[in-house]
Amino acid sequence: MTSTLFRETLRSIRKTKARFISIIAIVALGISFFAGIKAAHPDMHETAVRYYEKNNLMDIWMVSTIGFSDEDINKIRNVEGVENAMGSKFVDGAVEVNGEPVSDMGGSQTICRVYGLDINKAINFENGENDPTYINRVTLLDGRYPQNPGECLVDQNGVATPKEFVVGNKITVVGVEENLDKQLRKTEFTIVGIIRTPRYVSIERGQTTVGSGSLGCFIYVPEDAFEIPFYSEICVKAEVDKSSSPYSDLYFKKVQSIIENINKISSSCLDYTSGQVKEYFSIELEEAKLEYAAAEDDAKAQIDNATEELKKNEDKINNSQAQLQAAKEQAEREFQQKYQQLISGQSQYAQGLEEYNTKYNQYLSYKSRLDSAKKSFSRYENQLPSLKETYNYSVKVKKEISELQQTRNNILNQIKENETKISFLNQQISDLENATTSSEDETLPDYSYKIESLRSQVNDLKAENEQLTIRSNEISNQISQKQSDSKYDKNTASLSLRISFIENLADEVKNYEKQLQSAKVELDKAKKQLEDAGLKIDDGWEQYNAALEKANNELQTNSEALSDAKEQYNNATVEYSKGKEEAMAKLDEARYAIEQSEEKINASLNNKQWYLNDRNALPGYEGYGQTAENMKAFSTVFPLFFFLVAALVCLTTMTRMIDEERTQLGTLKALGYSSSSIRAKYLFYSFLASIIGCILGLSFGLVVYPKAIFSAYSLMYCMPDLVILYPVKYMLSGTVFATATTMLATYFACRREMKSCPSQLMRPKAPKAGKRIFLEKIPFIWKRMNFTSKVTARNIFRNKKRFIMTLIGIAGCSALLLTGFGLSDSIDAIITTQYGKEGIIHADCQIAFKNSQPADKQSEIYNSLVNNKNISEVMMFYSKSTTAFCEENSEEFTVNFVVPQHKEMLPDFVKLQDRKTKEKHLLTDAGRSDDFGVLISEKIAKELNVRVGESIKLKYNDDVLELPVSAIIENYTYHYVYMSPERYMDVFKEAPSFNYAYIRYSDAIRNIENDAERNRVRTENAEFMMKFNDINAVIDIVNSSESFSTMFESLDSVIMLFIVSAAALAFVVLYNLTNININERKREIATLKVLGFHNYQSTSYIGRENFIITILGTIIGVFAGIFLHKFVVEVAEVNVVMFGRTINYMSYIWSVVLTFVFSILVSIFMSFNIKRIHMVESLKSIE
Amino acid sequence: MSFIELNNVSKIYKSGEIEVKAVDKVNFSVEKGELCVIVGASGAGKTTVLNLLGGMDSCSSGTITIDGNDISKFNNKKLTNYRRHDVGFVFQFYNLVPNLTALENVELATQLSERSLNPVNILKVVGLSDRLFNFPSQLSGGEQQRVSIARAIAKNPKLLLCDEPTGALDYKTGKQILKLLQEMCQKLGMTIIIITHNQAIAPMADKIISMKSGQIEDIKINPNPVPAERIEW
Repeated sequence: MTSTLFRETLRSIRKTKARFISIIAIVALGISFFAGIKAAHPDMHETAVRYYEKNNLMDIWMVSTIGFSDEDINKIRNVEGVENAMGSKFVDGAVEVNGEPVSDMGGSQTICRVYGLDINKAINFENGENDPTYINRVTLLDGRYPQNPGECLVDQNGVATPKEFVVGNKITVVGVEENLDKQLRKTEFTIVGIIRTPRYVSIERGQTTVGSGSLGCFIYVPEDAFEIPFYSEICVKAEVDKSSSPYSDLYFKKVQSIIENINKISSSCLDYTSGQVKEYFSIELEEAKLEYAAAEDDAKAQIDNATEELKKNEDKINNSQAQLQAAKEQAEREFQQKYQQLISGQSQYAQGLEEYNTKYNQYLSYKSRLDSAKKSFSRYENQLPSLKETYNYSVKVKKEISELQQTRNNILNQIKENETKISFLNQQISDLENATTSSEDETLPDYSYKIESLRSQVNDLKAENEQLTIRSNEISNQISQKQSDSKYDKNTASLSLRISFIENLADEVKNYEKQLQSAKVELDKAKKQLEDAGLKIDDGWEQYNAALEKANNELQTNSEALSDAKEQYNNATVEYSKGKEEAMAKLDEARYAIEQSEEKINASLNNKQWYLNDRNALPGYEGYGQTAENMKAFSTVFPLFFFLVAALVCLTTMTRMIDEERTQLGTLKALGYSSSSIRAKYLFYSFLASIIGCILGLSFGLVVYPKAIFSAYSLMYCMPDLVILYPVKYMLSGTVFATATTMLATYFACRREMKSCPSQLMRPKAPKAGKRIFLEKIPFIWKRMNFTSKVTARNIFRNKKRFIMTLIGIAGCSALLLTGFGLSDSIDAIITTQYGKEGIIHADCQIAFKNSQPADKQSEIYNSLVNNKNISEVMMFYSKSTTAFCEENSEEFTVNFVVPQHKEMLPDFVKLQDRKTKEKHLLTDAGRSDDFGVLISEKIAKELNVRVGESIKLKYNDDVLELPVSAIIENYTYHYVYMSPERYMDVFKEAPSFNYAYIRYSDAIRNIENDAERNRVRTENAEFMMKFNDINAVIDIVNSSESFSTMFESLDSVIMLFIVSAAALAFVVLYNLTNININERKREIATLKVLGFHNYQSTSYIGRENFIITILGTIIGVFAGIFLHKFVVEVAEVNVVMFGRTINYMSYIWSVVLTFVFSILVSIFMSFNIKRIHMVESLKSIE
Repeated sequence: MSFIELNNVSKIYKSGEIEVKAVDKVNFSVEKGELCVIVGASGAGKTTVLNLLGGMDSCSSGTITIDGNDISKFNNKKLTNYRRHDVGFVFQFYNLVPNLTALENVELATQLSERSLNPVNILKVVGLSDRLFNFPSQLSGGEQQRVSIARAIAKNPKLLLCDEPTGALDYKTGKQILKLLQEMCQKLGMTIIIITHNQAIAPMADKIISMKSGQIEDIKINPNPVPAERIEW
């Protein structure tokens, strides 16, 4: 490379700053992720190693049933392989802060372990001294060390430590079922400092023998706060090779061998110490017994006193009660009398009232009668004067008429008389005439005269009659005239009747009025009388009632006073009996406690034993190692993909650059520069970019990623700050790989161009020629496609490299998303399928017995558990932690060897089925044709590569067992080997004795809906079971699964970190590729715009290609994701857990949807770029 | 009123504080059916004028009236529609979509316009009936330019704008292209504006506009245009 070319190279870097930086950035991103994730495991591991080393964490933890003496420590120090040993004291008790009890998540008392600490040693350590006899050193984080026995140190873990543990608060430790006074000088401690100890690296606190069985927290107090001269534990430092990891098998093997060495001296030590313990406690017991006797006497005296007093009080109450009764009776009698009087008065009054009412009714009837009379009188009253007038007139007229008639009659009589006279006269006449005619006697001439006179008489008479007739007619006329007078009423009688009727009415009214008047007077009188009587009665009642009330009140107060007295007496009685009971109970308790401790001491002395554990027994120790291992597993897959993608992006970017500088390439070549020197420019360019990228990425990634992961776990683990290692292995391999990939990419891009001759290079690169695509050979499809889809189809396949890279980008994105979501599902599945309601282990809790229960005898404790109504099933089993190994690669695994009490009962507590076929398996007996032997869990079968029919090799005590496998069963946490008791008998020639039991609670408890309530009930039952002397611990399966779920929650967030980063990278790749795509086709897009394509049309022209690639990529990605998930799950599993194997359908949906979201986002960015393309600029020059 | 009228049209590019007047108060008109040639040296502003006419760029001041519409007032969308329906472009470097066959390149244009002509017929007119299914890379320069012309006129535009149509072609092919353009003008009565730095092409035009430094130097009306075959350079 000439200096000019070199200068040009530098200048071209300056000119293409954006591109240069983008390569740096993408290399930096890729390598930082690669190295950062890779470094997480060594960093975490190293942090732990240094922490354990610095804080001198014990290698072997020894506890004894009887405690340890100083003699024991000295003896152990001399055991081969033991570097040092330290005795330490601890005691467990319930904890109260500032007087308030602290409870854990299950609702039971938080059990606190109080450790004794040699304060001087601790302070010396803090000052930099390395005292080898100070084991399990604590690190002070805040506050100060205790200065007197009343002060303590606490840890401060956000999850495990009670939130009340703050410097300044007072902690009280209360014994559970036993008094701690014998063990501790003080039980109240003020918190003065916050510490961290390697004994508890995680939120797990382990088990205890008191309370609910699980330890909730711990505190450190000065060692001299302990009363007991014996040690509770011995912490042993083993002589192990410092270079081997404390998580390695080598380390554990070495520790095991030292444990065996120590075990050899156990019996002699135990014999010695038990003697001492016996001596110490027998003195204590004696004292306690004396104390008890004194207390008993005291209590009895007190009880007697109380009884006497009570008796006195009772008599008093009885007296006053009798008095009260008498007074009450007297009053009652008096009132009865008064009452009777009042009642009779009242009945008289009622009678009066009745009379009054009758009178009143009468009055009312009078009144109504009067009213009706008045009414009818008023009707006729008006007629009366006219009637009277008519009557008088008519009488007068009548009289006149009758007078007239009389007159007429007289006249008529006259007339008749006259007529009679006439006729008589006529007779005389005729006679005379006759006589004259017949006797012509002249004597007779006088006759004629006579006749004449007669005749004149007749005529006179006749004339008179005529006059009279006229007169009578006149009178008749007068009569008829009068009769026809309108005022005249012929019927005077009726008239007079009517008049008298009306006059009667008027009389009646008058009469009635008088009556009513008198009735009213009477009524008023009655009323007055009645009212007076009523008032009197009311007064009487009022008086009576007032008196009654008063009497009642008096009675009330008296009886109240009496009942108060009674209540007091009753209270006193209750108190007395309670007091008595309490006193008796206390006495009993005291006696029981004495008996208990005696029994306990005797039991432990009889059953004296040492328990030696390696560090795996420390809560959280193993978990931390597994977590770190997890990281190792993850770092194998994710970062590599990341890295690969980054390399791909570099490749495209460099190719693009060379394409752009093609003319310059040609010019240089034409000037006579050799291909290699021209190539050197680009190689230098890419080399510089990737080296800078690597340096940046490494310095960033090695710090940020491990720290991010570590902080995700910080909730779970209490560790010092992360040690940042710079693993040369990863740094170098990453850098070499990154640089090599970019440079190789550059080299190949150059080589293609270098093949062309200068003249060709100087001419613009012919646009990639159009080609018929495969689809066009299928006219059946091609003909059915419209113009735009044809164009899209051809465009997609036009640039195969870009097509494939985009496809990889999209597929990678969705595959990673699916893997991540799937992994989440798999992790969730561990808890739900292993410990869920219908999970693999569907026992509720596991009981650890202090002494093994023999198989042939139904023990007392078994019976009382079976008969408990809250427990539906109990199955005892034998379990031993053993080692399964594989001869080929000498790998070893800890497995739980389990022999149930009855093989038929095991499926009630543990689901024995094949994961895929769901076929149920049973334990089989020996000697049957279809019998192979044991059932083993899936994960161990896989680790050891054992199949059904083959044998699993177990290290059992000093023997090696080879057990044929009859079936492999689904299981997600720990490894299990199940064997039937019959086969055990067959193999070991003795019946198994059971050290554990599974408990299944009644359905009533299991089906409680409310979680908190169910947990409370479960805790109650666990506490109940813990009361049995023979039960060492009750482990709630749900609680034990919680530590797993917390661990996996942290893992979840780490996975999410990976997914987000990976998805982001996939996004960047897509964006980059699309951008290059658009840049390369700028001219084409400008042409489209000139032709009159709207912006959205141009966008969809390109976007349609991306959309189809996204669909294709997602499909491929989902399938790739299924495989990737399977792979990651298998790699990521730590050896004691098996992840779930299925991905939820929601995860599929999410990953597909998110991929499309990314793709759409890229399209949106792209559309901005397309909009920005300027037609004139883009078409002006040829590229 | 003329078919095309430019009135005091200026185009000023600003880069930083420097203002470059690419076109400075240009006035001219072109009648319907005319073949107009704008000649001028490189940088005379002729391409800018063409871009302004084609609606690919908008002028800084002045008015451009095409068939009665003042396109200088058009917004982006209207300009796009204007390009879509009223103008056809022929470029020096053809600008064919490499991934489409000759026929498909023409179809690309006809898809956009309702009154477009039959792509096959058009390709026949430009003499490419036997090259319908060839990709641009399989065609010679002249043939590519013919496809480009076919694509431009397939939309049946009011105006055909050609930017150095012979610039990338050899003499003989160039002449054939010019002949084709002249035929388009005479047979289809299309208004065509050709910009070129080649003075020799001028005689074939009805109107020759000379530009220099962004201004009109001269407008000449040629009553007797020479047939394209007879032009020599």
